[in-house]
Amino acid sequence: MELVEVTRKLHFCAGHRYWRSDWSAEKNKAVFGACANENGHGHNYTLEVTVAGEVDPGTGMVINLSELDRIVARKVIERVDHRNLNTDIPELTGKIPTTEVLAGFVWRQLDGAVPGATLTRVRVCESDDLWAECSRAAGS
Amino acid sequence: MKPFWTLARRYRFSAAHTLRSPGLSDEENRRLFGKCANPSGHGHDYLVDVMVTAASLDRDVVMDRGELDALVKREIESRFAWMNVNETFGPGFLTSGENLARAVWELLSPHMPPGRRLSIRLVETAKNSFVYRGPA
Repeated sequence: MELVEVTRKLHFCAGHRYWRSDWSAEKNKAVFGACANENGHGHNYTLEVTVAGEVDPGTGMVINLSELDRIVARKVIERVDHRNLNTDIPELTGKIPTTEVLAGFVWRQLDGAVPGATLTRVRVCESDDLWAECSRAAGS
Repeated sequence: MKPFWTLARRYRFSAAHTLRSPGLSDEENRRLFGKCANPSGHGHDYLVDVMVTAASLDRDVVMDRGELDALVKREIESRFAWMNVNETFGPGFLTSGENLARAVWELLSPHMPPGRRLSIRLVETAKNSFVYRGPA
């Protein structure tokens, strides 16, 4: 069996705020800084989705990227794009919408949802200097 | 299945260095490293990707970003930023990208929170990058 990994890059924009309601305003400010500002802020997120699978001899592809786009659009992008991550995603209720939490949401939405391929990594980039990944193997 | 989480943060340091193997003559260093062995030194805008991996999140994060930033400032920035890393690490240390990546790992690794595994990617130029994940 010969596996090839395919990575597709997508974009979305969303707002959020880092805030723990069980902490005082002072402690939230001290730990999260400007990310705790009351009315939130936003990012132009980049999402990288990596799947692994065998190459179909007829198409030369692991998966048709249009099909992957459709799946990611329906399962993820339509859920998060131009949304408030603190209030608009029921699965994230009670959590701080950190980059890690968002990566976990994307992982749960896509794991097992891509026919003929295995999800191996999702990477959510908040900026060029900060990103979080969920991966099947540690340190992939 | 439950994934592993990695939080990654990119830091930037401008530093001077020269490649010099302590056991070799000037001529041998020049032959081995070419222009990188110029004894007057040269420099790079290094990128250091600090990647912290965990099997589960603690309070919605792999690691507190402020804590990571403070750690990198204390342990790395103080030794790299606007400095000559040959001076920082001494004449017995060959300042290759591989060795610098491992040095960064060794400086940060003891300070990782419990259950966190560290990997370092050091980008010397757009053409050269080095990853060290700790002893095998």
